[in-house]
Order: sequence, then C-alpha cells, then structure tokens
Amino acid sequence: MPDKSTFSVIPLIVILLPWISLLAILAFPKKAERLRLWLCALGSLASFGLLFSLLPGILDGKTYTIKLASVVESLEMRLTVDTLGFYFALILAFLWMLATIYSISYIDHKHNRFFAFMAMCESFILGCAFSANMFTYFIFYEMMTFGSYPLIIHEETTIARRAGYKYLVYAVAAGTVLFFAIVAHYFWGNGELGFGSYGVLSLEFASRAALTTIFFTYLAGFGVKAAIMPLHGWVPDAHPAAPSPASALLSGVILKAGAFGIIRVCFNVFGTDLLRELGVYVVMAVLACITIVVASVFALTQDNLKRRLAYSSIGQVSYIILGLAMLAHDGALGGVMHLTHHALMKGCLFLCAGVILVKTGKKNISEMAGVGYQLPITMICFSVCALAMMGTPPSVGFITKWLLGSGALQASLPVYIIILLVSALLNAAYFLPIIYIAFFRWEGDEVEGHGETHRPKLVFGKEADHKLVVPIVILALLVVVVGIWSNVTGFPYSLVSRVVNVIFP
Amino acid sequence: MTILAFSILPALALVLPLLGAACAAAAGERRARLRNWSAVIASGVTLAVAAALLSRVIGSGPVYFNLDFMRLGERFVCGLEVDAVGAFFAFFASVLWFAACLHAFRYMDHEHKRTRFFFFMLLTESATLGVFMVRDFFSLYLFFEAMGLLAYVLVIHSETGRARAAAAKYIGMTVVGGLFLIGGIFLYLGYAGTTAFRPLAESAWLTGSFKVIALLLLVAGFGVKAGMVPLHIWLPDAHPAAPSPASALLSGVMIKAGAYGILRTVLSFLQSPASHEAAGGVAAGHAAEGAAHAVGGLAADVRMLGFAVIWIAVATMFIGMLLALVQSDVKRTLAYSSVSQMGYILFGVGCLGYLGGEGAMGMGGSLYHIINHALFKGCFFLVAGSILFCAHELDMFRLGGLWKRMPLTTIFWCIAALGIMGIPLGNGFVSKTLLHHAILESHHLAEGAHLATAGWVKAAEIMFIITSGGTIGYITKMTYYTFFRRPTQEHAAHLAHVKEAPGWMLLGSGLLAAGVLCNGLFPGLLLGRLIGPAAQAVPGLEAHYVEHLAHTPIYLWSNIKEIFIPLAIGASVFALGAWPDLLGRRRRGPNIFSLRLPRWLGVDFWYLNGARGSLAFLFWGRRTYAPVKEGFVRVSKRAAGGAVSAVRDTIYPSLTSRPVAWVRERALLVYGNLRGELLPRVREYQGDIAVGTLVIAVSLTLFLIMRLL
Repeated sequence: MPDKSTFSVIPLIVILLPWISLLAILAFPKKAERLRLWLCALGSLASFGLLFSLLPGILDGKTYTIKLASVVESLEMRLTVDTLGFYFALILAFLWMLATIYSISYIDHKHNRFFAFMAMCESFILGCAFSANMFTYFIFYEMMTFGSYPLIIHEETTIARRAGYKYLVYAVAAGTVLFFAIVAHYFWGNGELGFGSYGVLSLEFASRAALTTIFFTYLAGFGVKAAIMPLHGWVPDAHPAAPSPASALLSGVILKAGAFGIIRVCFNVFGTDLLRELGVYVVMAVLACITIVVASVFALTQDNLKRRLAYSSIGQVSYIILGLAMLAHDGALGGVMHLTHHALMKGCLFLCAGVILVKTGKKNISEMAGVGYQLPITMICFSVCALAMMGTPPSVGFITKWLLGSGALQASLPVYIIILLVSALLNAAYFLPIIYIAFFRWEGDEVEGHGETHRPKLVFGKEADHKLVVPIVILALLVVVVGIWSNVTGFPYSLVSRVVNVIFP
Repeated sequence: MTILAFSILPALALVLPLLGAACAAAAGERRARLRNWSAVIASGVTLAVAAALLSRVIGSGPVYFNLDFMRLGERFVCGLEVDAVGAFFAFFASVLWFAACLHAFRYMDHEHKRTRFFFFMLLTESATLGVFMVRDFFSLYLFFEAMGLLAYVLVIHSETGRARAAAAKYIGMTVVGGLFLIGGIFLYLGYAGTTAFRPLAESAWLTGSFKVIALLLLVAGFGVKAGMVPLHIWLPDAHPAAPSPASALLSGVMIKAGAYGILRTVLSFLQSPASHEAAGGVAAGHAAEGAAHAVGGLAADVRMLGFAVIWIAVATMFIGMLLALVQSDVKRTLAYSSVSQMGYILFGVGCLGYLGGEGAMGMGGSLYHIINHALFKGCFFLVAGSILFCAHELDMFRLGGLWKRMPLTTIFWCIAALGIMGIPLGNGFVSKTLLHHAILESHHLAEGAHLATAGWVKAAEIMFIITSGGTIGYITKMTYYTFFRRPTQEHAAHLAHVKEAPGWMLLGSGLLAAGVLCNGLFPGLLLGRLIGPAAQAVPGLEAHYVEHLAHTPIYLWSNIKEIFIPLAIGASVFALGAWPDLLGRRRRGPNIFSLRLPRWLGVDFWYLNGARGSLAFLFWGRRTYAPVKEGFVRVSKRAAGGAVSAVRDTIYPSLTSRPVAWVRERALLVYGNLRGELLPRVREYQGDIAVGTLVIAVSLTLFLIMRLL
C-alpha cells in the first residue's frame, strides 16, 4: 500500500449514501411518489458529490482507508480509495446518477423495487471500487451480482425472465470459480490478498504452474462479467431484456466491474513483470483480439438495436483487456482509460435506444426510418457517440484507439493495429447504417415523387421529457469534451496516467 | 528548427466558419436571406483572414496557435502550426469557398433543406482549413476525418436514389481511407518516433519493409481523397450527385487535401536522416559512415516511391481522361476530369520524390497545378450549376447554343477551358510547362545516373503529352456540345426560354475565372511570391533548384511549341468523335463519345464484389457457427442428463441398497444395541447439554463480535 494512507470515514459514507434511497422508499407513503423518486436521485447525486470532494486529495497522492471488519489476522474487510479505485468509482457514480435521473421518467411500474435495487447495486459496486483486497472485492462483487438481477428482469416478460436466469447461471458459476481463485491466491500468495502497487504474488512462494492456474482462474471468474468471448453468453440476452437505464448501467458499469477486476489482477496482484515472466498475457491478448473481431461481426447481423449495442459492448470491453495485455505504457493507459470512455459512449447509446423505444416503440433498426426527425436531439447525440465508437476524432473513442495503437508500437507488435483497424471498420459498418436510416431515410421515400410530400421536418424541443434528454446530452457532450480536453484535471487522463506512470516508469 | 511566432489568425480561420454555421443554423429557413448572407460574410471574412495569414507566413515565417486539443501528456497534442505551404493551401481553399458561397446564394433556391446545406458547408470549410494548418499527422487526422465525414451530408444532399448510392460509396471509401491513414500514421509514429511532419529518429525495428508499408498506407489513405486510381471510384459518382457549389468544393478543395497529404508524406520521407543526424551531432566516424549509408538507402527508397507515384499518376491521368471522353453528363465529365487532373498533381509529387533534393520543379508544378485546378474546376462546376439552374438539364447532347442565351457564363466557361487545356494565356499552360520540365529533369537525372528506370520515365513523359491531348479533346467536345452546337429539334423548344444566370452565380464563377486568367497571364507573380518562398521553407530541397523554379521563364517559344502536339491530338480526337455534328451529316460507324465499357473492367465492380463476398463469408461463418453451437449445447445437455440419470438410477441404488445394509449389519454385530443403551443417558443429562450449548454459543458469538470490531 502507498505511504500516504490516511484513515477516513468518507469511503464508508459514500457507500452508504445510496441507501438513503432505500430509506426513502420505506419511509415515505405511496402518495408522495415524486418526492420519493427525487430523493432516490438525490442519494446517488450526494454520493457522487462526496466522492468528487476526494479528488484533490487523490491527486495529491493520498489514499483514504477504513477497516470494516477483520475475519482472521490477514483477512480483513477494508475499504481503500486509491487512484485506480477512485477513478472507477467516479465514472460509475456519475453514470449511475444520470441513469437514476433518467429512470425517474423511464420506469413505469414497480418503481420501489427498481430504485431500491438500483441504489443497493450502486452501493455494492462502489464497494468493489473501494476494496482494498481481493476478499472484500469478492464479497461486494457477489452482492452486486445478485443485486443486479432484479434490474434485468424488471420488465417481467418471458424474455426478461429467461435472460435473468441465464445471467444468474453465468454469474453464479463465475462466482464459484472466482472463489477458488481467491482461495488459491490466499494459499500460494503467502496469505496476502491485498493490492500492491507492483503486485503481491511472486515466484518465491509459488511455482509457475500454481501462479498460472491462479491467473487463469481469475481470468475465467472475471471474464464472465467482462464478457470475454467464450463466456459472453448472457450479455446479448440481458441487455435488450433490461430496461434501458439498466442496460446502460450493465454495459457501462457492471461489465466494467469484471474488467476492473482484471485490471486489479494484472496491476496489483500479479504485477506486469510477473505477467511477462509467466507469459500468460499472450493468451489474454489472443482472447481479447478474438472477442473484438468476432463480437463486431455478430453485431453486424443484429437488427434489434439494443442487441447490436450489446454485442458492441462485448467487443469494446475487450479493448480494455487488449490494452492490459500489451504490457506497454500507452496500451495500459488506453485500456484503463477506455473503461471511462466506453462507459460514456455506450451509456449514452443505450439511453438513446431507450428514448427511441419509449417515444416511437421501435426496437429494430430496420424500422427506424426518419427517427432522426422525430427525435433530433436524441439522434444527434446517438450519432456523436456512434462516430466516437468508430474512433473518429475528436472524441474519447479516438483517444482510446490512438493510445492502443501507440501501445502496440511500444510493445513492438503492430499486429494489434490491424485488429484495431478491422474492429473500427466493422464498427463503422454497424453504426453508420443506423445514422443513415435515422437521418436520410423516411417512411415512404422508396416511391419516387411520393416521398417528397412526406419529407419530414426537423422539430427541436418537443421530443421527450427533460429527464430523459438531459442525461443523454450530458453524456454526448462529455464524449466530445473529454476527447478534446483530455488532460483536464479530473478527466481520465489525469488519474490513469498517475497509475500507469508508476507501473511503467 | 525555425522559431515560431504566435498568431491568432489560424484559430480565427477555424472559428469564423463555425460561427457562420451557427448563425446560418439559427437563422434557418424563416430568415433565409439572413442565413445566406451570414454564409457569404463568414466565408468572405475567412478569406480575408486566410490572406492575412498567407502574407504573414510568407513575410515572417511559420506561425503557431496553441489549440491544446487532445493533449495526451507531452507527446501527443493537437495544435495549429502554419508554414508557407499550408498557408498557401488554406488561402486557395478559402477563395474557393467564398466563390461557392456566392454561387450557392441563388443556386440553392431550387434545392431543399438549404439550412442544412449551408450549415454543413461552413463546417466543412472549418475542417478543411484545419487540414492545411497543422504540422503533424496526429492533428491532421482529426481534421481530415472531420472533413471527410462532414462532406457526406453535402454529397447525399439531394437524397435521390442516385445521391444515396453515391454517398454510400463515398462514405465507404472515406472510412476505409481513414483506416489506411491511421494505420499509416501509426507506422510512421513507429518509424519516426513522432507524428510531426519532420521525422526525428529512425527506430531500429521499423526500417525496411515496415517503412514501405507505412508509406503505402499513408499514400493510399490520402489517395482515396485525392481520387488516385484505383481508389477513385467514389469521385465520379459523388461529384455529379452533390449540388453544384458542393461539387465545386469537393473537386476544387477536398481532393486537394488528399494531394496535400501525399505531398506532405513525400516531403517527410524526403528529408530526415541527414538533417537529424547532423543535428544530433553524431561525430564518430563509423556512425557518420552508417548515416551516409542510411541516407543513400533512403534516397533510393524515396526515388522508388517517386517512381511509383509517377506511374500511379500516369495511370490516374490517363484513365481519368479516357473515361471523361465517353461521358455525356457535364458534371460527370468534370468529375472524371478531376480524377485526371489529380493525376497531373500527383505527377509533380512523383517527380519531386524521384528527383529528391533537386525536385523543386516537381513540387512547384504540383503546387501551381493545385491552385490552377482549384480555380478552373471550381469555375467549371459553378458554371455547370448555373446551367442546371437555368436550363434544368446537364446532358450535353440535349443542350446546345447556350452561348447566345448565357453569354457571360459562356465566357467564364471558355476561360476555364483555356486554363485546363493548357493553351497559353490560361493558367494550365504554366503548370503543365512546369510539370513537363520536371519530368524532363527526371529523365535527365536518370540518364545521367544510368538508372534502370530511365526508359520508363521517358514513357511517362509521352503518356503525359498524350493525356494532355485527350484533355483538349474532351474539353472541346463538352464546350462544343453545350454552348456552340445548334440544339437539336426536340430540345430547341425546351432551351428557348433559358436566360442568363443570376448575378450571384455570375459573381461566383466570375471570381474564379478572373483567377484563372490572372494565374495564366502573370506566372511570375505566383511563382516568385508564393511558390518560391513555400518551396524554400521546405527543408531538404536544394536552394539552387528552388531559385531556378522561382525564376523559370514561362512564355518562351520552346515552351509554347510543346503545346502543338497535344493540340493536334486533341483536335483529331474531337474531330473523330464529332464530325457528323460538325458537318451536319448522319453518323456512320462507331461513336467514340458514347462507348460503354463492360462493368468488370472498372475497379469498383471488384471492390463491390469483394466486399459482398467477404460479408457473405462472415455471415456464412455465423450461419455455420450457430448449428455447431446448438449441437454442442445439445450434446452437453444430453451428457449432463445422462450422467444424472446414471447416478440416480444405477449407481446410487447399487451403493445404497446392499452395501449400506451390509455395513449396518456388521456395525450392529460389533457394537450391539448401542443406541438403546445411549439414549436413556442422554435423556438424563439433556438439561446440562442444553445449558452447555447455550454458553458455548454465546461466548463464541461474543468472541466473534470482539474479533470483528
């Protein structure tokens, strides 16, 4: 652990703040529905605000820590806000806040259940971000798994139930695997489950075979959430089934919890030197490359918008894995920054899909002719994010692509560049048609002459409730703003470069 | 390293069009005049800024503006930095934009969604100027991509089936080109260690083949925009599909951005090791030797690159010319003509590479031709727009006799035609003369150094002359049919009411026609004042040759007599195709102006089929993958079910029924009726046991609580 570690209750308070929503749901009568819903939003807002207040200290190099409980001597539940954890917590609290505001207007039945589980889930995943060791991480991670189940089956249709079931099967199995990974880690890691700046495992205490086993068990355990290719099965079902704010969070945050676990494993448990020594990063890179390309190909064939976005998420999360597997400064930088970048872009895309669904009832891309004229602001934001996903500058997507490419050069493996370019091409192939259909087609334009009379007009300001549109606009603006002024304090670069500069001096 | 001066002009040139776009969008359809005026004023002010920038840069060296976009640490940052070549391009781009805005003022009356058009036109101006005002590939990519994507809206503007198809082709090529470009930039980064146009050091692993790949990717990436054969396929479709002011811009400026990129690439690879080795102060003998060797190797590489570009250019100009000859649509002819003229520009760039440090003439010819082409092709497209606006027709065989009805327009067209054909007094004469000198110098150099490629360079020169002849042929044909031939009976009635184009349009095309004449009549002005200084600013070019370029005499008899061969070729091509109409006879035999080639001869046929094929392959993979997956799931389900039923029906009963009974019997035999004896005792002490358990539980709980807190 870094030196400047101070005791602070703020991490605990940040985690507990979302529970305000739970209390509100219990305390207020059914009649005061609006007040109650706004209090929910306030809970996540407050936790984001409090978290943000830690920023100066974090940039100062401090870490904040609090012990919750101690099980046996070296096995304790401890919350520590280090730079990496803070970085993850910041984006997830931000996205969660926007999604909560969005869902105030979006969710139309069983508000109580949805908001209660949303708040719980946020609390748990903040706990993941703040965990000081693998034990704590595992506990919060498992609670988050079960907490997100009601979000997925919220619609309670057959499809949703089935998707939720699939999710549980995958997640529980992954939890078991993860448990074994942690036991093995505890056993061969000299009883040390904490996160070190350069990794804690070493070849002194364990054989190569043991360490390799631990690594792959971790990879399999976290890989289910991070949707690495053979383990991705639940993602394309769960995303379309869940309500849009939930799918935005699934894709923006919950998938990232798995990726964040892998980041922790790579940086803080194994350390890059050990990974290079063991050679396991090659397998990780190959899996990531396969996932990136194959998921994009699958996305091409989907007509359901949210399903297409879900496949796109699978591919994009693997950018993070690929960046880690490069074991180079820029690759790691790009990969870890992509955590935020993808959360911004995909969060916005899913929220846009939600607005389209609510306002026009259209789920499939082929039906979306002229949607851009009905919902101009939504679709403009959608286009911005879609272009960003392709890696068009100036946007966060381009920053990722650039850093990953540069990392590939640093790793002396330009073959990764080919993967990146193929992926960008496929991204273009499945995102551009959506923009085209939304803005340059309209219903009845196939008939010559007849189409002219039906040509729609752009009407601003009448598309949807502000609570739906404002989060989308904020996210789309951030996609561009973070892409342009990427080195502003508090934006991903300022935080991630601190972490990565330590690991790759 | 030259010392840079800070200047706000580049930023102004970026922001002003954006402001204009915002004003235009805010004004909207309801205040249409305000919107049009804001577009005109914005582009006009931008032109003034660009002119000021040009004079500043020529006067006192490169300037920079700290944009500070996309800063990633110290290594990557997107900023503006304008040198002479860039300022030069930016100036001519803004001239074109101003003219196009003037023209669009009235032209757009018969189009729909005008606000969108003006909005995106101004956005594209900003992006395009950005392309010319940066000094590293990182920043260049930003503006280049923005330009390509924004122009999509201009191409698809009319939203007819044809425009959609053209736009699809355009966006596909743009995306693919962008990927080539970024791939090339990555490799350049690996090769040079920096993205600046001036490479710093040669990294160890990225030499040889990687460098060649980097070069190829960069040239291909820019070449897509530049309409380089065989990547030109979007161009002949997109230019006619766009509204005329947009086609003028596409053809006048945007494809020049591609040429500009190729020029920058060649210049970047041209300079380097010599200068940076010297700067690095490598003194040791063997290191200097190695450096000299590297320089020699690099010079040979660049010469091969130059040779390749020369022949790509020849292919581009020749194929473009042939296809332009057989079109009937005016704008389509002009589009193919653009392809062909881009060949001329690349030709100069190729000569620059081939000649290496002595290639000032190639660069000068190329730069001069870029301006010329921007002017006359812009003028052509604007005039074509006027014709469409007034006569509602662009098929040259259905037009005719327009010179009587649109005299001013005809004069502007003829001036532009003078320029493109390379007749003395037109500007094309100057640039073609320079290019011809460049290829002669290349040939001279190759002969002198006994290079194997000398014969091929000579062949390239011959192709150059033939293509010039063909150009004269198709321009004469177009001019004759559109303006001077008496219209046929069936179309005469339709053309009877055509009037002269409105003033705004004449202003736009007149501005460009004046530029054509000015460049043609005063070649020394541009050469001495702009191109000379621009070439001087390029490190790696030898000063002597630059000096020679700046003072090349153009109007010499030895130059003028060169035009007679192309003129003869052009006249004979024209006569061969148009004799029936010239003489008023009925046609016998084939008409060379309406030849149609089979589709499989065009590259786009192969691209399309290739794309379709690979998509089909991918989907086939998906289709075959699904049954495999289902089969796997089925088998594993069956296996799991089988295992369960095996355990339940066979293994478990066999274990439980007999062995358990056996164990129980044995146990009873050994211990007797233990349960019967133990149970009364337990009943006796049950109170004590309960209390004990309670105590243990409580103390354990307390202990746990103590431990946990």
